[in-house]
Amino acid sequence: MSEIPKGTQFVGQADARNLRAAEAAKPVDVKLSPEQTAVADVMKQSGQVLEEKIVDASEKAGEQLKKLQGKALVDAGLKQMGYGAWESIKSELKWGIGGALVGGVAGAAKANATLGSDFISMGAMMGASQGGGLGAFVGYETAGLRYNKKVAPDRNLPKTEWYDWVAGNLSMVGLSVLARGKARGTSGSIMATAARLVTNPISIGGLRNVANGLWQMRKG
Amino acid sequence: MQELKHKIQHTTLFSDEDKIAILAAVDTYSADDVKALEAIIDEFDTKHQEAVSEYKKSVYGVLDTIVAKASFSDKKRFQNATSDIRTGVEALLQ
Repeated sequence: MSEIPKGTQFVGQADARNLRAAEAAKPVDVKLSPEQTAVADVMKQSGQVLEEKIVDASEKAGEQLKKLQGKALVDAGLKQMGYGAWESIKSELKWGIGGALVGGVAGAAKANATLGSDFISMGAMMGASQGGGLGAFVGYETAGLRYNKKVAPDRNLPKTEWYDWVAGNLSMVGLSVLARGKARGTSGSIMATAARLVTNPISIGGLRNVANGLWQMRKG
Repeated sequence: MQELKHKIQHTTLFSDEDKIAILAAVDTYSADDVKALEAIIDEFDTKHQEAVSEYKKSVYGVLDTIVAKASFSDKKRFQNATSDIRTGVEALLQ
């Protein structure tokens, strides 16, 4: 039997892991109840309006602050575009929550996973089984973000991508280690900010409530 | 001045870092800057609150419709579900 060259033993294991991950990332065919669809749709549509309004108000305030004398005020004004960007991302994360959680909940239901306190299972379903489909869905949604279209090019900031959103969502449901892994090589500070915004205890509690509600709206 | 400091602490306009810097310097600002800052915060907070209220109105309207249209056997389940979602949205949009 030929000897495995030193230093290459783990390549096969890594390939196997990658293969398993690729298999797991195949989107599942999710059947949502009409009620779940209605909630996801309204959260998405109303969230877009919310985002626009908050960013507009942020930009206007920034312009006004820049005209004042105090240095901290001027600095805050100059940062408004950036802060508007964070607000935009925060809104994006929130208004997308309905759609993503519905998908995650339905995915968990398909696999007969239990919810309740087991948010890790739901997170795993979102991150793995739902990964492909969610990526396509959120990728499409984030492309149209005002932050990506206007703020990022104007301020020479990195655009936010769907994996920022997914990583943020994963950390929301407790898979912070996985989220940190996903963050590597992506748009760094935006991801970190987005993750921080959604990983505070209030957000996690709120998400848990929303997820529980959506879970109860599943079919029969 | 105390009222302005309270507004600075509670507005969603500034990041935490900005709040600290502004609060540390606010006592040195001119009367015009103080007045202008208060007006800017008020205007932003009003717009923010209006946007959040509009969002909630839309989402809660759909939740109410879901409960209203639910069959007798599903009514309790949907009432619990929409109640959970409302609680969650309230927490998320603080």
